[in-house]
Amino acid sequence: MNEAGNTVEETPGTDPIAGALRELAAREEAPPELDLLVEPLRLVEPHPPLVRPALRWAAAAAAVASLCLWLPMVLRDTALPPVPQASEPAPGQGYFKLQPLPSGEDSEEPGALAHLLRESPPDPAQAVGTPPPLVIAGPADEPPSVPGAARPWTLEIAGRTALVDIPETVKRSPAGMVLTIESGRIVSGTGPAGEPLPPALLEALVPVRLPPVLDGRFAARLTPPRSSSGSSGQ
Amino acid sequence: MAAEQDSPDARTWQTGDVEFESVYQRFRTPVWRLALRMSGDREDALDACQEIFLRVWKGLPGFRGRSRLSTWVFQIAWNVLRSRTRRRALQAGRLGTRTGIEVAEFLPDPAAGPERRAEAGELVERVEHGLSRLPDQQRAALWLFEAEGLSYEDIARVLEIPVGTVRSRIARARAALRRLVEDER
Repeated sequence: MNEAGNTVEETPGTDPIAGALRELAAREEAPPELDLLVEPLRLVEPHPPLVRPALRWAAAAAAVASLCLWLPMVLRDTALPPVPQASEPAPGQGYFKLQPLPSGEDSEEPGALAHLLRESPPDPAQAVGTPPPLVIAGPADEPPSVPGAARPWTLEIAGRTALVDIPETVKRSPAGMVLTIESGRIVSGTGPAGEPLPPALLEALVPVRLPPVLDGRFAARLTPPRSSSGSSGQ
Repeated sequence: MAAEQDSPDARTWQTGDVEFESVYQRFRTPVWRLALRMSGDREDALDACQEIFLRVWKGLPGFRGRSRLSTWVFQIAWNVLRSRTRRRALQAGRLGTRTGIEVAEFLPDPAAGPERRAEAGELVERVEHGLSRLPDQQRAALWLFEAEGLSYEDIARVLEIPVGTVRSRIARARAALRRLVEDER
């Protein structure tokens, strides 16, 4: 059945029209002019294709495969190091370099707490009853102060406090001053009346580190230590 | 017909070792007949045949025998003839929105000359005249089926349409041709 619902002949028709068509075909022969037109093609053998389609496909597949293998290697080799985020602190700010802790092996450090604990293991019976004798690991007495040795003074500046080692040669009395701070360092200073500070005092103040936000000129107060425990320069 | 002529050289085609001369000798007349039927003009049919055999010559080394040789040659012929018909219609500025099938209805009638019309009393002449008035696809399908002996499946491959469409087009072409022949009486 065809699209119109009519019956279609499955074999070449036997009706007069089909016969006329075959007769028409039998009458017609290719003209000799066609032979002349095609003559050049008949004299020359066609060149076979240089690359067969199958080989072309194989070459394309090999190229794709090699690209898939090579590209990840190149990307891995040329990968840029991760860029630190702006919010991450710079190295040294807020982080400390970690050092390995002493291991469980014998420590060579003299006075190590582990060594002491191994030498006097706790006795369970003693733990319940009398406590073990106290072992003092460090010096019992504070060493006597040496004349001329630096002692920490208190520097108050812009609402902050810092301890400063001031030589004994400096007069031990509270002193007001005006200090110039640049990049967190004390670069110069004068007395309350504008007189220059003693060089020894200024040299002692220079190592003091202050927050960089305090840059500028500030009024400061230097206070000597309150007690000297026997070594008084007064 | 052409389908029957395919069988003796089947082994040769599968090896891809087909000589152009043998192909030309076998298909020069079938291709010429189809070109004449589709173009309707002797000179144009000659040009079309030259182009068809040039393409056959070029493509023959790559022919691997996956399809019948007759199907392959007629497929080339149909593509060339169809593109020439479209090109001619475009040059004449008559294509517009019409399809290729409709364009064929405007092709010149080779049997329309006064001498040929005077001799058109015979059935073959009337069939030839009526055939020239059929749409391209119907004419090609009917001709390949009745004159060249191709099967529905081979015609479907040549025209690149479904087999069912080939059947319906042949049936319509046959009915239309019968009507045209009766009208000429």
